[in-house]
Amino acid sequence: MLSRILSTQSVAGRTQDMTELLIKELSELFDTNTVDDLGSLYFTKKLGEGKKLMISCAVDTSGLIATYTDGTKINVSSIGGFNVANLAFSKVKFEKAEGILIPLGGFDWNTPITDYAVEAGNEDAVKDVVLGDVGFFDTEYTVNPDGKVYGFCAGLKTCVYATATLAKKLMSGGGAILKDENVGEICFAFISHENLGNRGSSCVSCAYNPDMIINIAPIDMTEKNVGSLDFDDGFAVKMLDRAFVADEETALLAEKLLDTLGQKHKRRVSNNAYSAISRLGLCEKGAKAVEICLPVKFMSTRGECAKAPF
Amino acid sequence: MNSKKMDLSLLEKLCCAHGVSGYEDEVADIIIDLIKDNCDTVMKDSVGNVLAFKKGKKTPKEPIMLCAHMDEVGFSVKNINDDGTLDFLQVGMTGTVLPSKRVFVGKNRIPGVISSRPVHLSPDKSKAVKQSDLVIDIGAKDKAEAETLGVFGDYAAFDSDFALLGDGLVKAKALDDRIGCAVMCMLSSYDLENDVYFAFTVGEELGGTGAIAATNRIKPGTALVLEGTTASDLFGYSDKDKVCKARFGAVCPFMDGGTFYDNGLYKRILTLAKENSIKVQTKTKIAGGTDGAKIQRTGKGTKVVALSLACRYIHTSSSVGSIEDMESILALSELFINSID
Amino acid sequence: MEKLKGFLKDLIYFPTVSGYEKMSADSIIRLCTDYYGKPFDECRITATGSIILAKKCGKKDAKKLCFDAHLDTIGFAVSEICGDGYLRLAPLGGIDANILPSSEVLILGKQRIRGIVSSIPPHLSSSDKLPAVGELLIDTGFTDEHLREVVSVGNPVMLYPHFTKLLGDRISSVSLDDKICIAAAVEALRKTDDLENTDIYLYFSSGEERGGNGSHHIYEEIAPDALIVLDVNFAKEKGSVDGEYGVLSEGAMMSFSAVTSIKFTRFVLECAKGEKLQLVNEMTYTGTNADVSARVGLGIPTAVVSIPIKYMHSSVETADMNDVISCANILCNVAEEYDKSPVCIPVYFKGGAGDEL
Repeated sequence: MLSRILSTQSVAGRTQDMTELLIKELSELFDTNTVDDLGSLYFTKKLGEGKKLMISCAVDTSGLIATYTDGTKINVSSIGGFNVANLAFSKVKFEKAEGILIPLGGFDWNTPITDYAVEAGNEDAVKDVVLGDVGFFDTEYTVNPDGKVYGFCAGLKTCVYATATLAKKLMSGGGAILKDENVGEICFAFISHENLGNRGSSCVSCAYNPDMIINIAPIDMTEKNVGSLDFDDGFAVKMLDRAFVADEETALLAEKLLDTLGQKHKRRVSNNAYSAISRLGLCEKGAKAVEICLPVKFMSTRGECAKAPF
Repeated sequence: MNSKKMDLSLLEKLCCAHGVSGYEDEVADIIIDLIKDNCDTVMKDSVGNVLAFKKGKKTPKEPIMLCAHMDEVGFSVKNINDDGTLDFLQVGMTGTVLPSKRVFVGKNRIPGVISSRPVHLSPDKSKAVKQSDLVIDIGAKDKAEAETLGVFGDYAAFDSDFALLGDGLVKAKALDDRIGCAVMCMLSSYDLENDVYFAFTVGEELGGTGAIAATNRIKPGTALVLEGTTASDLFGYSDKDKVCKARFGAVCPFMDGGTFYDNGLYKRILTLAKENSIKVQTKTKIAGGTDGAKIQRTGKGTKVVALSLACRYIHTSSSVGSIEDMESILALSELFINSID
Repeated sequence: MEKLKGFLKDLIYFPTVSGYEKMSADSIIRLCTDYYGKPFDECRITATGSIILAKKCGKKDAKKLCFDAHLDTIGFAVSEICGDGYLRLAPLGGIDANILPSSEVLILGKQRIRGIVSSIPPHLSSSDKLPAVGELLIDTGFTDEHLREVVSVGNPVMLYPHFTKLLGDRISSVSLDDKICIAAAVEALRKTDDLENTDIYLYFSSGEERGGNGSHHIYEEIAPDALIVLDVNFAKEKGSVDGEYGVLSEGAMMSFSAVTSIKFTRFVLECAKGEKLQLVNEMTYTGTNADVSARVGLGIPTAVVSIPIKYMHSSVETADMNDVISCANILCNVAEEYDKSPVCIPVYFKGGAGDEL
């Protein structure tokens, strides 16, 4: 499943390919699956009496959007944050055209994305491009024998994989593991529009109204305040960052579930990041939440690296 | 083709009314008067939004909401100086367009002028005056005289008339977003296929205060935002950098600084325009924002699309737009509403 | 006055660091009930850690007037246990590192232990440059082993509490932001007569220092018809910028802002009657819960009333208790006037409240 997730593009604004894959992989484990107005996908199942739990992760990657076409070139702006210079000369695919991302002038480490264009070398194909079409970086992913994944947005994709795998494992046997932890209703959410300003989180939360939320997201290993964090430490249970303070009960639940599945974990605090939890918690009465993170190195570059759990 | 003409006297009435963010009542009253007879329910909510419901030939699967904001960029009196001049705060503008303009202060329309520096005495003429060095002068001789007029915390709006400009263009203050309000008022008098909610919101220039309240009350499935947007089609700019152009049609953006508009609805508008020979264009830069940003992610989320007027010199005392573009917006809005099931 | 000072001091000593408000919620409710003199008609803690206290009139369709003073204060959380008895902290809320070197903090782990924020001796430091809050070392004086038994990563930390009486009725303490407004709100409730048609809610919201988390839920929790947000505001002190502050001991302040309801703000101004009310214009951004709560639910007409304090977000926030009493009097008048004739109610010009709107 990891390779299927890595090879399916899911750039913000065009996440249908990924949501279709996830529905295929997971829908039989749940009662319902819904894609909302912003493109977020969520599965739900009623297990019995108990708390309403939501396990979520963002599903959209960074990419490009066509802002102007001129002959064989497609001018672009960026969706999500990434190191433009690092992705220069990458292959880019739009729905109707593809090409290479090149700077309009000479190459400079500081050239902004608006001075880049995708050179398709083909006027006819470019004529079919509608302004506003979203393009993804057709870059490779490498999975090394030690389980480390290298590639653009590997951190996010590995989190999607982790969430999907968590779904498969926790929902096996009709959700027995969750029932043991007094979870009465479960929702797995793959949230869209996050790279477009974190728009999708609150919508899914308001639709489902969970009591507790476990969000799965990448965490930058090199951030000073995270302390020393190694791939082999497993999941970083983030207790605090600029956007939220974790709830102890939810943190313990997350740790218990990880223990049951044989996954290592360690508590962490971040001083710089802003978790999506600040928006996930905007459901009706608010929810108790924690974030479990996969450590990531070389964030926002084409060599972003994360270790796939399980 | 745009068969229906823009009602310019209606637009003039709206543009000349004062509705600086936070003080939208004057505009709200005009709008209530205009739409009361055309709609089934008309109300003003507790934060000042004007909300209306008009029955159409059928009820759509999910509610349709049209949204335009009543507020305009302007000023608020922050402090009365000892010499009777007024320090001010501004909403939504850059400092370069402020010096040497005329304003009206408060609902009694006390005339005032925004200062500028004496050209003979300034050391560096190439730098713009800092906004904090500007004041509004109502001619008061001292603090006491200004205070008796009760101007603290009151608003000030540009003194700018509504006029036709050249071939088919219009110049006025507040085309953003009285054009949206005007289009919605006109649509309220049409026979529409679907039930429609009209939301005339407050506080858009400050981040969408009213839009959130309106969305929570109406809970739409589809929202069409009618706005004014920034056109930089000045002479000498490259086509790519113009963002959008006056006379080139209704602007339907795919994305701006606040919203990634629903791709399906965006493409539908482009198709409707093509099928009906209506001019439409999009923005070639990701800039600006609308109420759409708040509507899209309030509650369970809504599919949002926008139709805007390419407006030169937006957020100044003299914004300029094309009448033909306004008619394109009107025609496309009607087609869009009627196309929803 | 002395009783009010005592109430405020007790409020301050119960830690409610942003994100960890629940740890003192029960104690604070008990404290407020004691000061109020009788049980509240409604009294509960929300899922996100806000406290709700209400005085109800008994009518089913009563109007709801709400006073929001945020429960949380700035503080820190332990981000790292370094070794040799030293800790590092993550700031919770806007903290200027400038106040910290050689300050004292109270670490709320399994035990409450004191910590000193280290500072480089003047003989050894050559620059004025301040380290970031997250880089400072806190000396607890414990051994590493003992420290790890008592404190863990994620424990909350507050600035070391004190309550200093200055000349007159002026006082200086930590966390006047926003405990002084909580005191004003309870005092106002205590003074208000029984109302005919209005319930008064006190909403001590959580998370204000970190984005207004608690006030986001004010609509679901209470759905007020009108709201006054009580927060502290800047009083003139050394370095103040003209026109952006009030003056200590000159009464409460009120903000004109386009984010809040100008109409409701003018109503509060009229209700001030004999009390002085200093006006400031914060047109686009008040920096308080109002920026959040004016925009939730179906919209809430909001006004911002503040108590001026000097040296905000430091360990020596300074205020005049007379301003607190004046503020409470204004709130009392607002409640009584609002009860007689409420403002900013939705109006129907055609049709009526129904399924459509």
